[in-house]
Amino acid sequence: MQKITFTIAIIAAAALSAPFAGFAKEGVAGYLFEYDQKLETDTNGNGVNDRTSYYQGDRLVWTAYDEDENGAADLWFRFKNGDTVDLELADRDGDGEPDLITEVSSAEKAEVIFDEQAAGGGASSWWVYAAVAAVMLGVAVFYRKELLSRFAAGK
Amino acid sequence: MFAKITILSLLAGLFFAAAVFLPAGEVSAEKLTRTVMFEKPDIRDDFCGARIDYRICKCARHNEMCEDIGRERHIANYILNAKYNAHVAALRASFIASCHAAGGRFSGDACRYFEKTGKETQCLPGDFERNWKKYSDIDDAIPVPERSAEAKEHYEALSKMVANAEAVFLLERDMEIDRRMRLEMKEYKQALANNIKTNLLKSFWRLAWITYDNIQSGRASGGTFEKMYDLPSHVESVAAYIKIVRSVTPADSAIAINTEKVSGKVKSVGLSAALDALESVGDPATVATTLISESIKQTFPSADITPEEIEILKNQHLKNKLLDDILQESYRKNAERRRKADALAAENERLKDLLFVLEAQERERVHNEILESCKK
Repeated sequence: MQKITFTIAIIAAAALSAPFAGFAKEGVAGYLFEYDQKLETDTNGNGVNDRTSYYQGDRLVWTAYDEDENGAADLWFRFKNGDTVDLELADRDGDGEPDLITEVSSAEKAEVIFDEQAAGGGASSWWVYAAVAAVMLGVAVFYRKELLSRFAAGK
Repeated sequence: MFAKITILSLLAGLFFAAAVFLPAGEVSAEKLTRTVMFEKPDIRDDFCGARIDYRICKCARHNEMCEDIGRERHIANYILNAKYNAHVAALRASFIASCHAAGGRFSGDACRYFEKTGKETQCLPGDFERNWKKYSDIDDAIPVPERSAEAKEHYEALSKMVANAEAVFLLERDMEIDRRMRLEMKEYKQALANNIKTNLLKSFWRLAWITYDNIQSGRASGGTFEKMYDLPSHVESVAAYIKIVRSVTPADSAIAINTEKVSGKVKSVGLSAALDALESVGDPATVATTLISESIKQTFPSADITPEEIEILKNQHLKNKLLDDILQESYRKNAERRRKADALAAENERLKDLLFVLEAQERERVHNEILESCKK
């Protein structure tokens, strides 16, 4: 009896998941998409695949380019109706995450909706903070004796 | 030791403050009569709701209504700041123009008006305030090597701006041509999928004409779509017609802009006229439209394409996803063009600011030179 129940459960689970078989999900910067076919292409004929096209049925849904051919995507396009780009993402600092998000209207007017570099985020500002902190630390170390004696005298 | 550091820090601070806040041109003997400050509008009171959807502000500043506008907070924050900064830049440009028109001098976000000294009234030409450039070296009639250092630098910056504007124009033109070609390709794809022979042929030949016009005129937008016409030799009638289309497309398309004429015009005039000239180069979209209209005017061969040849096209273009390949490459190239155009436009904004600074310096030099040489 237990064996029969177990078999029925397995069959039911298989039947329920059947429509999703072959589908995969991916996400770029919080934008999720489903696809059932992935095509890799060497667009410049140098032996390295630098473009991955994601299809759902016959419809192109996303494209990821690896423009610097380092194995990680750095330019993505989302396609609407299989033939019109409505979103473009780019990773300019090479950290694998998009730092420039551009929306593209049906008339192909592009509007940047997020630019990490312009917004003051990203690695560059951290380097500035780190450099300032290092200088301050250096000054503190240089004058530590005097500082300590002044504090001691203050006490 | 501590006292020394404190004094040095204070001096450095004062020096920095003086360098930043003292207006250029204060060394002149002219008497400052009036200062009008440029005031930024208040982002909350004057911008949110009035110039931008208030929900973007709510989302950006209070993390409210983000779902209503379908944006995350950091995206809304970026949009709010970008749009506010653009609005402020436009207001500042208008303030600067009004300041100059009224005979004032702009620096450090302030417009300053000066009263002439006795010597200035006697020595400076009556129209100096408004037409000082005609007494300066910012003059096309003076050979560049003979101009003042300020005027030479001004010339270099202006030349760079013109070159950038031309490059932006060409990039935008190619982007628009590519966009129009993609639209035509969509029509072709639909006609091919639905076996509508007349439409299929119309789009096919139009695209061929534009592609070869692009290639033969040396425009960048040619290469991407050429793959579409790289068909197996046994598609004989199509191959024969492609040869015809190639032969009838003009070698030198009339839609190219006359960059020589534009550069000449820009270099011969002053700053404000030069900037106007840059803007009147033309609309890249109109140029692209001209090209597409030319393709529509062409009488294409009424190729009697066989059902077998249609099958070959279907196989080559649809099943092998060649059209998708062209589409993706076209979008990629346009993204690259857009990034280049944006970078050049941003550089021109910086150069525009530099031109204002150089003009102020050249004006000051001419002003002082006239006073020094005046015997009155």
